Amino acid sequence: MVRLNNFDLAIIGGGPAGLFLAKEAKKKGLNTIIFDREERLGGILKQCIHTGFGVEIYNKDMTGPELIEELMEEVLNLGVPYYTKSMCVGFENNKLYFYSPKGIIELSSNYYAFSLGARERARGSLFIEGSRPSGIFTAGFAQYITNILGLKIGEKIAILGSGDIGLIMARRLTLEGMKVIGVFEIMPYYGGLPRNIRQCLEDFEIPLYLSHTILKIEGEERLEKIYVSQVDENLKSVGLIKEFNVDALLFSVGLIPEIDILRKYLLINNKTLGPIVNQYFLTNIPNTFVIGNSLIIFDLVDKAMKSSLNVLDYILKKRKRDLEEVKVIQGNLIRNFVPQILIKDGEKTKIYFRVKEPIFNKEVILRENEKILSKKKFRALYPAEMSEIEIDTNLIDKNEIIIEVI
Amino acid sequence: MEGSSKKESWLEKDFDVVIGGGGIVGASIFRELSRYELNLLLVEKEEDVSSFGSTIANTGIIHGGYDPIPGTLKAILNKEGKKLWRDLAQKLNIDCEFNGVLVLAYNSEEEKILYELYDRGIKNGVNVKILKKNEIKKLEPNLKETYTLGLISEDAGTIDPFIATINIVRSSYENGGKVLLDTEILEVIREGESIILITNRGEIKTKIFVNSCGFFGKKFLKDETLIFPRRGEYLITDKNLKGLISRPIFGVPSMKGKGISITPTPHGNILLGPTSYIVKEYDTSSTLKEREEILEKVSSFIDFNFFPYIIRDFAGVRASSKTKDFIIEFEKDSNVLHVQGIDSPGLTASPAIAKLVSNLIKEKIPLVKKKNFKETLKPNINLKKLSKEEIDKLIQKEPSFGEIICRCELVSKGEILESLKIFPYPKNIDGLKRRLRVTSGRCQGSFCTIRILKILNEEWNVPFEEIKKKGKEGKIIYGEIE
Repeated sequence: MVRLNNFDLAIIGGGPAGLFLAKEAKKKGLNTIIFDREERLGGILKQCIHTGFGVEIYNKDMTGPELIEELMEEVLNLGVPYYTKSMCVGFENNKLYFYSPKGIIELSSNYYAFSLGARERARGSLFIEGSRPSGIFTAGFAQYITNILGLKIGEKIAILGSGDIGLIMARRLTLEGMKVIGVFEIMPYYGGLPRNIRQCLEDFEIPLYLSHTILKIEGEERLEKIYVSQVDENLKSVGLIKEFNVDALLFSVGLIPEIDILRKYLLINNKTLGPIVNQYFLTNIPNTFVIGNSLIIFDLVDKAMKSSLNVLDYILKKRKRDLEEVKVIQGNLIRNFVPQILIKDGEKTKIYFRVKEPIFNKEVILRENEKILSKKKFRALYPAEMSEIEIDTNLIDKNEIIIEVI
Repeated sequence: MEGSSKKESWLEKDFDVVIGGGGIVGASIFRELSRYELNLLLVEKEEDVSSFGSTIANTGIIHGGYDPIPGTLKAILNKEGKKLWRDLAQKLNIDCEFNGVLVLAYNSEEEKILYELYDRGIKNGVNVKILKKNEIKKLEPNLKETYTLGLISEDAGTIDPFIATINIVRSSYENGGKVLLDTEILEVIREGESIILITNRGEIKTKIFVNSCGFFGKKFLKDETLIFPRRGEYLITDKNLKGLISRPIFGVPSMKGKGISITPTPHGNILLGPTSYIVKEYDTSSTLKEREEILEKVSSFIDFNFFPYIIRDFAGVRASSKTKDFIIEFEKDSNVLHVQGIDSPGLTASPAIAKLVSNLIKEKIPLVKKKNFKETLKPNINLKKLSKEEIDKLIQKEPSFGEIICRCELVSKGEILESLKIFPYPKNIDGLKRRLRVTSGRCQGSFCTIRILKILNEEWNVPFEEIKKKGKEGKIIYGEIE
């Protein structure tokens, strides 16, 4: 058994959010350590070989692996110790346990920050009729096979869901010589970022079928055919069914924060499906933070990285949690948000949120009863985009505030 | 040796008994007969045992035995099989849980049926008990309290039917039985005292042929219209609902059978189903209609939204018999022994069916007990059953046990490597899934499938495109990107 003690901050999950927090924590003098279950640090960015990363933090547009390389170099130069191939399997008596090829690791640290990333929604979370053949992939899984292993997932491919990973994969697979017959989205609007619609679909003439879904899957051992239908405003099939012969189907139908290891202890928010946290991303478990996509699904990696610094703010300024707490309540057209709790410590902070449907020329406000505490105007805001609104906790009188679109 | 395409020398010899079908029934018969000095062969049309038919799509319940009509084979073999499973599960390291099975009535009409079940249970000589409302509440506090009366069969339970079949075949093999996979029996030629089986891989000669080929064995019956297919669909949840209920919950049975249940599996998932529909063809695709039917029925038992927890749906086809009972008998004037129409409680009855079959065979050929029959199996390494200290020791000896491949089910590379070396060998991803539960968790393989492919690519030394999810066409990868 490997026993590791006396750390200030242990970071579980060495993706972009975890690495960035580790770097900044070490710089501020915290005795920090990183754990990751994979062979190499970097998380999902290792397979994201497209650009669009690092613009906010490094002021340059990098690919996922480039950003990770840069970040890794900084972390290693600072001498932050790390354990890879180490899978967190238990949390007992304020100690963490990992399985690793070196044996079981027992870790105790003053603070824990979990940045475990997200899971992809799989076929089981939707209802599609038919058989259960091979050839059905989640988009991120297909991305790993394509970009890391250099292997082909099929010849003729359909994509269900217009989330960003699906859009990026539509382009990738096309560039690698596979035929993407279309992206099917059940909602009347797309789920990914507008720039990805342009750069990944339109530029390659890949059809986007809005208000369409896959009703049935056929093929006994390998996928052979899908049945697609247009849907009405209640998302029910309108009857007209098109058949497409495909040998692979990608699901890009959303991500779910990964926090299974803490599920027994955490209070979960049923909108983000991540933990309920305060403005420092502190959970109901003492001294335990959750950051990055395991807190809420971020739209941009830079945002997930930057926001992780809230943790440092709490630790370094020795903030107290036993102050008065304010609940943030979900109002009109808001899909989800963090934090759900604000400690009234007199500091300014931010609420990260997403809207339920596209909004144009509207305001997002924070109010208590009729008193508006903060507002922000948006010319256009899409459900895929995460936005933020500032709040000064000094302004709050009541123990509840509402976030909503007006 | 097994599964290879060239003809083995042992195939040239005549067999004493050939068993058709590597499902739970065939496997159980195989093991029972491997107690005797016999030249014994199990033939399976698929690439693996425990990979087809009702064996891979059932509720996994070891039934109480209150349901079958007294005096039928179903009643007798259910009672006996239930007893045998307890011992078998222990000897062969089969995951099981014996917390009883609960049947609930919701009105006076259903109470009448419940009392009928009770009377049948008494006649069948099995453990049954009537429960009042408060007793039910104590046992299952999370159910809707609209029930009026309950019946419990306390010694009933659940097992893992995949592991059961696989380990039973392994035990038979270690006791000298032979296995031929990828071999479909096309025709059975009766030649007086002996039988020739025509297969896709040549002829096999045997004294006795046991037709436990499931639904596709009906063609060897004199009257194949006796058997008809009945479809059942299931939903399965992730393990986050462990503890919601502690035992299978049923409503009262109807014309269609025992009905839709909520069943906790020994692994901590919850199974919802099955539906029951007589169909024309063998069809295991799932339907929206039946899924809605399941969720609706289940909502009468419990006020809980299962939807976000469902990770998979599946359907299976059971072979039902018009006789409403199992068919277990020798053909008149031939050595073909039919074991057909094994629908519910087939899994429960399997070890008892095997004993009955061996008794029937005894009347045809002498059965001499082996002196050194091995009852038990060496347990596989399973991290979930070890303490931290034991796991740590194991990893120090073999680091691959510290490398987690399937994060939902916490399965290590070491366990996968070990499984590849244990007969009956897994042939594909689904084979590993039934042995180790890899890919069967919440992410349904989106994390581990590719990691398993990499292991198989190295261990088997075959290109990715030759590694299948299932079957011959079920490849996952189409080769390298040029």
